Amino acid sequence: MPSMLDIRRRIRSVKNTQQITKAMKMVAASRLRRAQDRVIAARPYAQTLEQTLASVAGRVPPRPDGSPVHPLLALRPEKKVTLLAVTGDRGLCGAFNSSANRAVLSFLQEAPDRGIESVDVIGLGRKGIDFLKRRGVTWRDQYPGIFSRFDHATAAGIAAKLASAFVAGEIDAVYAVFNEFKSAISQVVVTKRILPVDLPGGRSEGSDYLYEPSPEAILERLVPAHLDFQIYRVLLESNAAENAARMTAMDSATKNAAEMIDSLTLTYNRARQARITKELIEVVSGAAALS
Amino acid sequence: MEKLTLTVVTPEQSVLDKITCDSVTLPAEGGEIGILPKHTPLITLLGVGLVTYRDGQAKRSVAVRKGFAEIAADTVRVLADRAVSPDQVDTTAARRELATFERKRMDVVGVEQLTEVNEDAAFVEACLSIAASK
Repeated sequence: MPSMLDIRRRIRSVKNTQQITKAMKMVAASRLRRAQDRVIAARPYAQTLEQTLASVAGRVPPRPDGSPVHPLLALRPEKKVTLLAVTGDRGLCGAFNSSANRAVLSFLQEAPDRGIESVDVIGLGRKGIDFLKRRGVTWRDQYPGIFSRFDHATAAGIAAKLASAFVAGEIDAVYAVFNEFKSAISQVVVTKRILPVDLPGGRSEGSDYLYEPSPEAILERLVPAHLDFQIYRVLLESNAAENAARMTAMDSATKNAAEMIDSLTLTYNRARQARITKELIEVVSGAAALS
Repeated sequence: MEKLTLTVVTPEQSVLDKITCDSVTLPAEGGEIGILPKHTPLITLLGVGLVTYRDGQAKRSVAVRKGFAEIAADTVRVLADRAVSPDQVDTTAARRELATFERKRMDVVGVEQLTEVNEDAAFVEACLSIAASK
């Protein structure tokens, strides 16, 4: 049986850990709020962009040679593929990073079966980069620490590089593996195609628009804007999901610590009682021996 | 009299949300476009400049940097890559940034970069001008 002093020390150390996990939970909760606000703030833009894109795309006549109306829409056999591996910069967030990493690995393993000849990876977030470094993947780019600070311009920079490589024929498709934010308690890893661009569903509006300068020129600008936004959205989703995952993980860690403190306190009290009983017996039997 | 509803959004924030006004001026790529109620449905590309809206005597502006606008059924929706309202402008930072563009223009290679630097400069100037007329 551990001594009372040992138990007291354990209790103190678990309490310290609990304080840390509790603080981390609070921080994650406030970051999650901010991340969610950003997701919500992006919604009106997304809606209008998709509607307009759908209506403009319906208005641009197909090219006579059958090529798509914008080079970023070109569907080619997927031989050279780029994968965006989106994870967090830091750990202590449950299965968040490991499930994304696992999805990246399975994508890489299945690639040859799907006729993909080569995959290069863009690592977004330090955890995924560290993990994949040990697996020896081909890198196209690395963005460690991107989640400490990112905005739409960051996403647009990544998108511009991808777009020019895609148009030049260096890559045939771009996929992203990331955690999608479903709710504060549920995050789902999804693999999504980013390039070639999927035009949003063709709900062509009734009103006949005037296009200034021309539908083609507008499409020319809208398709890249859509790509920028897709990547921005991936970052937003993953950021929100990471903080949600960390909040849940830290919450259960705090609960576990509380449970442990309870059981340790019980052991401590038992030990204390046992000692008192022992002392009493000693006193009583000492007195009995005298009389 | 009929009114227009103006909304200005960027991927990061909503700058104006359903503001009622009498007229809107947009910085289209080919020059300014004035919008009055009952305008025909229109989609136009935007350059860098000011979206100005009037309501009665009051006249206000926000600065936008590239994007497009959709006008339909007396609703003007502006989607800009960046947009700033007067109270968001940091005047001192903007002035400092403006001073750097001269040097940046010397360093550019190629027309594309020059256009980009010029657009950045125009946007900062637009930001300063709305801050001044606040």
